[in-house]
Amino acid sequence: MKSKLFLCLLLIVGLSILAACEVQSDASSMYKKEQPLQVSFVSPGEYEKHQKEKIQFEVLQNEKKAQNLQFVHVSVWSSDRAFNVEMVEANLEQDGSYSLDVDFPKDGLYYVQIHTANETEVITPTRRTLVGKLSKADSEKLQSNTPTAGGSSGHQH
Amino acid sequence: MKRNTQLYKTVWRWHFYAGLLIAPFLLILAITGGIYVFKPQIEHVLYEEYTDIMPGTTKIDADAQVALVQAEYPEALITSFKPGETDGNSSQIGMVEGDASYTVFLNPYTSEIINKLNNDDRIMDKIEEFHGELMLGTVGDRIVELAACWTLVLIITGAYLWMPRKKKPQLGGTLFVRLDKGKGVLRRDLHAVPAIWLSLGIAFLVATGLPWSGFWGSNFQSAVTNTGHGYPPGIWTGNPPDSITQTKDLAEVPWAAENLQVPESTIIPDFEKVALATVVENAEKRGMATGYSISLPQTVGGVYTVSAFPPRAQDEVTMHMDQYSGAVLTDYRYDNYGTMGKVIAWGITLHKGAQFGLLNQLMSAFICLGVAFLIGSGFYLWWKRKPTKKLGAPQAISARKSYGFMAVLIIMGIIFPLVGLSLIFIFFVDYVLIRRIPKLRAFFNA
Repeated sequence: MKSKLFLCLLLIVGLSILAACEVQSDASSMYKKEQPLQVSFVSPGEYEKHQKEKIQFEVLQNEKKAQNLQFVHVSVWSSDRAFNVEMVEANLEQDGSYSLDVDFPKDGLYYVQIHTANETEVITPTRRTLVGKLSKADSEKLQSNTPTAGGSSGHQH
Repeated sequence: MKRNTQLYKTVWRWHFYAGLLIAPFLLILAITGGIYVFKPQIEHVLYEEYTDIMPGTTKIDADAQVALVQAEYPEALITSFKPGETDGNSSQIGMVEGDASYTVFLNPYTSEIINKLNNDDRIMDKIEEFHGELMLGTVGDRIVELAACWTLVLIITGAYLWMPRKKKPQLGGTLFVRLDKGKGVLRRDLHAVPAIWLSLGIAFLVATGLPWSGFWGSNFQSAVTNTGHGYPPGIWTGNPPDSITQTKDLAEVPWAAENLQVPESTIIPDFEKVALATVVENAEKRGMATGYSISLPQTVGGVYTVSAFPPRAQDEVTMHMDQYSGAVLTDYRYDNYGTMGKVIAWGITLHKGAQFGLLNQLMSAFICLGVAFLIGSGFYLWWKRKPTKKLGAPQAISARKSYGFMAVLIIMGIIFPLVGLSLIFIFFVDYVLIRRIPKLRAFFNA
């Protein structure tokens, strides 16, 4: 009987060692890595109407300013589509960031979409932006799960 | 009793019980597997009218297609989008409605919704579920895994029993069935000879199937991924990356709290979800023309997963894209797998009968048929020599006298923990019940 008890014990030890092996959080570092483009807004997400507001942002890759971008375009539109600035080329600032001056006509929810690409990928982040106060309709729209269609889908390029 | 005879009896006894216990499950695996390898042909016949369409001149884009389906089924949660593999194929949109998941077939040229198919009604999905988990969920998955592992024990013990013991081995009874030596010999040969021919193929199917099993497979895959030699994380095991746009806190728009009356748990991200068109554009920019599907993110930090698992392992792709920008966070191809990952990938496509087309399907189906035949011939072999009131098992030999074989079993039990667990169970039942109840002892010949 002792031999069987020993065998059982051995098996239980083996089982506990081998069971519950999980993928470590840093496992991806051992495989191919991408260097995704990323947009970081310098200016806040809130503006005032009838002011010449500057939307400023950086396009980053590997935490540095991205090089070899094929284009950097900006679209801005109000949630009711009454205001629509589509695919305007962004201004390149001296510090390497990009900007666009916008005069928001009225209070409400707006969307600012950056559209840029390099050889391997295109990105189109769309930031929700508040001008003045939020209307009831905008508030409801924000809280609903229905996604708002983006300004341009990128087929122009 | 001679040591060799003792060992032979021990091995036979284990082969006998293992065969008797796992035969029903193995038969299910063989039948369902034999059918499943022909999935592409069967599904084409079954769903041809949903998938095959007349190509037009202009298609509506992915976002418009998903919007159409969402408008038709407003309560549904859209989970995936798969463009047609060719110009003559419909798009497939996956969605969850209530407790069921569906595939909606849509003609992108005419914007017509062709059909909505409940995934629970897909016959091949049922066959797959039967093959992988006997339609019993996790419990079934563990039973299948156990049956697969014990099949290896059957192969090892069977090979030992088959081994020629005469000084001058003969081909008859080893590699060929002897037809002229009487019924008893023929019965034995009809089990042992085809078994040895098929054993490599069966072992291959078990070895290539185990990496997808729920317990051993998950742990094995995780361990291999952690070494850097397996699949990269987020394909079979491990989590995909998070979207990076919401770096700071996956938090909400800074002005939301003061402007909106929302419960604290509601998160309104700073950014909109990116349009599917961006995801499609990036997939195409990276050379994925057709045959891929896009899984939509379902959490605030989730990602779009673009994946393609075509018949050949070398063509596999898994990409993850930031849901708020479309940036490609990972792009794993076959070439980016570690060596073991490549081996497992080949194993999977070969196991499914996909890697080499029809030839591969026929080979896999042949092995499945062979397994069914071996189960039948093994059962017949036992039935014909079974005493009326006993099970007819070979006599038990003390574990101490067959320590070499026990060591092999223990090693199997450590490599395959479920085998280990079942061994503990067998030792327990043997010690507590069979050895102490005379009737059971006689029945099991213990």
